[in-house]
Amino acid sequence: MTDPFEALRSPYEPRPPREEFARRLRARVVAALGLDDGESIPTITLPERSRVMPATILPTTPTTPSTTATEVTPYLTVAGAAAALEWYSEAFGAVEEFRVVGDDGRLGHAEFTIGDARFMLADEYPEIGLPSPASLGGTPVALHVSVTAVDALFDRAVAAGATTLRPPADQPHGARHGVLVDPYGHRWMLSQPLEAFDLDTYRRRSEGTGYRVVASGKAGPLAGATAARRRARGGIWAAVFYRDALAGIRFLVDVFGFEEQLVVTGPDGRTVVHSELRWPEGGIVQAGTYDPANVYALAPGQQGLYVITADPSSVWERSQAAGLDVVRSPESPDYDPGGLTFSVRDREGNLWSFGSYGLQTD
Amino acid sequence: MGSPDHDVGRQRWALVDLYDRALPEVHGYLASRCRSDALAEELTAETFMAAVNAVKRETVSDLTVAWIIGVARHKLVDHWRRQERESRAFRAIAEPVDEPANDEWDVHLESMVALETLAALGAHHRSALTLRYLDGLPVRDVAVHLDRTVGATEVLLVRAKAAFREQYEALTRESGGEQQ
Repeated sequence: MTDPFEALRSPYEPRPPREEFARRLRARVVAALGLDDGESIPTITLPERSRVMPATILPTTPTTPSTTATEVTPYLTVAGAAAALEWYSEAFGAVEEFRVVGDDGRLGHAEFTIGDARFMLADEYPEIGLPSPASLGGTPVALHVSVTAVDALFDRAVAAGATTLRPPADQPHGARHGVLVDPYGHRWMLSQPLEAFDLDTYRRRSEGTGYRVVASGKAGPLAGATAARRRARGGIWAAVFYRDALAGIRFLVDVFGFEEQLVVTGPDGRTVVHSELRWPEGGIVQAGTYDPANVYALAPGQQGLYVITADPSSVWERSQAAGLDVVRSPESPDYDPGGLTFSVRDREGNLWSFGSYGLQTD
Repeated sequence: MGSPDHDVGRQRWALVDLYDRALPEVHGYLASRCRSDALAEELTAETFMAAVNAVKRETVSDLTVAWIIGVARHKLVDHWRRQERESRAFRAIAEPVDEPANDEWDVHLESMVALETLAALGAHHRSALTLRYLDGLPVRDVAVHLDRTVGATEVLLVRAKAAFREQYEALTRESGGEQQ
């Protein structure tokens, strides 16, 4: 006969304790492990590096310094800034945002927009080397503005008093544009994109014109598609969570080469409630503090992010120097034969893949 | 890969990971064996703080759920030992000397009554029966946990079962009486 006591066998069922208890005990465990103490945050040995992250350097131009420029704003000097603001409004539909008026009546600074494009403007200040085109007898810089209806805007500007240099016409690079000079001497190139920019098409159309189109080979195929890029205003931001988000952010900056754009901490100074880490070649990662009570926060180690860079090798070297766990050593994947990709885990287990996916040009 | 410091930090974080993963298991295990939420929480806390110390001493090779349940089992036994020491003064000094004549007991145990029976037993009997039957450990493992020889453990188990049987039958008689 069987032992009746065998009936007592009871495999236990998982049963979480009270939430409050779970949270307090977790804090005790973390503190007892010394993990909340800034001194005992696991440190990584950082490789020597310059302030300029190599990740942003294109492989064919290793001496080009990186830039984090995301926007260029023309700053116009005009003789008669206040009148110019009025004229730009009449001719281009410019909207003045504000002006800074000097005691002598000159505008020290003003800002206006035309559509989504921003401009700055000031009066001539010859005493500090700010002459206007009127004083110089011309301008070497054209203001290239992408517009949605070039003919109408061109006509409007000419009606307001602009001088036509070249009337709007279709161009071999897929835009229709015209060039005019405003009454203050600035040259404007109003350009309406008509079709997708394509270097091969441009090259073909330019045959016999006396000009040859030569690709630099240093930039991605989209480099010239400014109009298309300007239209693409959306974006996807990735989120990644760390138990010690400040350490995580320091890691992302020092080892991978992200740049801090914004880091917002909570009242305790350690909880990161919001951050924006910019990848120099494009994209934002939001690193935050993992909180089991936050439904948006996946536990560290449950996330995987892909970062596109023209120079995975430099990131790989820094990852190796930092002693990261390697999930996949650098290799050229089937789908990107000329490219390079690798995957590592950061200190809290999040998976990071870096690759030159699709960045190769011919 | 990585410096020793780096690995130590990693294992500490791994324990925090294990906490997040295994807390319901550890608490569930303890709650099912000590029948008091307050005690289950106390022992859950003791279990994880012991795990912290083990990780700090770098004596843990594998941070698994099975390992932390083992730690919880130790904490449970430690608790019973304390209880046994405290209650020793009130217990009859002499264990029944006579071995029960017949170890065979043909009955289908009612689990609720059985748990109540266990709770009513002395800590030494309860711990032996729990480890042997609820946890299903072989006698030699029960002996290790209770820090006794296998022979002494076998004797203890026989006595514990006799005490259990007596208590169980008393309880079923009572409840039978209520039903009438």
